[in-house]
Amino acid sequence: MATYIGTHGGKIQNYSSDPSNPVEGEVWYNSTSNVIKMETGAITAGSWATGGNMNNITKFDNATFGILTAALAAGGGDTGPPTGGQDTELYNGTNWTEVNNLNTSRYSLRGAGASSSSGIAFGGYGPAGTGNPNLNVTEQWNGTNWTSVNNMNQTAQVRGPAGIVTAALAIGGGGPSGSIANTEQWNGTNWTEVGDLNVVNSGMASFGTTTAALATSSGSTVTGATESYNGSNWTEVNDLNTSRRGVGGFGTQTSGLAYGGQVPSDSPNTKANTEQWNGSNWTETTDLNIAVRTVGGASYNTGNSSGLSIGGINSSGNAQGYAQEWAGESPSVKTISTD
Amino acid sequence: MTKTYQYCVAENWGKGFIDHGESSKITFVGLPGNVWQVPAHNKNGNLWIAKVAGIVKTKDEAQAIVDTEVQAAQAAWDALPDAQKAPAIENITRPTDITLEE
Repeated sequence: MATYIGTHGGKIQNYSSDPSNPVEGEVWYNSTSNVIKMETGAITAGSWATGGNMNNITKFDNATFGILTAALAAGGGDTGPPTGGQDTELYNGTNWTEVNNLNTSRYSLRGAGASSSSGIAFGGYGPAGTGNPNLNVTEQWNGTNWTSVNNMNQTAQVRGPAGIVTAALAIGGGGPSGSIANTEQWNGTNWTEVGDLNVVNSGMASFGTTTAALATSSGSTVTGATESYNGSNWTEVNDLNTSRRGVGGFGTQTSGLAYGGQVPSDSPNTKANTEQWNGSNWTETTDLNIAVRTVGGASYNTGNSSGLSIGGINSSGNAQGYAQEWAGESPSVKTISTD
Repeated sequence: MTKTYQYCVAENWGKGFIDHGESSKITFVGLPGNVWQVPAHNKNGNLWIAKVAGIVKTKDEAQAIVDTEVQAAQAAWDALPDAQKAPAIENITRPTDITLEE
């Protein structure tokens, strides 16, 4: 009788769970499920699944940060007309839980943090009718409470976020006189002005760190323009394939995701497009299940392998509290039938 | 005409409503009014509708539900004072019509 070792020159490796990074053609025996498996070399595209629904928080233009299993959303607005909120909710990978409020009610704020236990929320726009428009306030989250810390130098809303509680960026934004190119860096205590964007912009999808960040699209202009930051300077890089505005994003400078958005001239004008970034180019991948724009995200340092789309405005123009969970592309493994 | 899509109404309960296995097999389109579009004549689409206890609608019935939702949002937008139609967030705009496909 022919044997595997006789025809292929090696024994089948025995694993209790599937190997994390099998090579094309690798065959192994999974001793837990008692089946033989093979890595086919094909790639299974990423996919979106529904996550837990948010509770009472205002549901778009929030500060969001963290990762898929430990995310935070704070502040934010409701449509028609937007009103600022103070609520904060934490996501544990299944459910959202209400926790202590922001000190300053606002929408169009942004946030940076590695998990739901620490981060900052900065900038924003005060509630309509309060005479409190663009804000430079910064608040720091310690896992339990928000504390007011030093203000940004610029008063601005919808500033692109990147980084963590001790090292963050506020990129561009909408100032009192319109969009700005200014970028500020947070060191855990103070904000300092650093290199400007090449093109004034606000409401970008952005992610990464203070030394390696990416910012794409815009909150106001339909564009696919993307810029990359090296800790000192911004450089224009390849555009999104589908220009739009109000895109959400998460990831790293070499592995990111941009999703949703709006093209006002289209009907419906709210988009489900998803594109993944590999450090050089954007590639279209699996659409969101629910089209959404002005949407938050959470995936610090996990690239485009996993992440969370948070809230946003849906195609009927309403703020909605759905979370959508992203699982990135993966090797295609086939189970070999022994029947 | 052969149908490409089928429609149902189901409330998104959150985690597990659409899982990654389902999403990798068929394309879902979530629409206003809890209307969902999935492929017609498709085993995985049928299984998902059964899982979420979706109420199957014809395309015309689904279109009417979506229209009602969008028209209500449009009316709410039209009733706003002009100053509130130009908010600081520029992508808050009047909802546009949505036309479902056969």
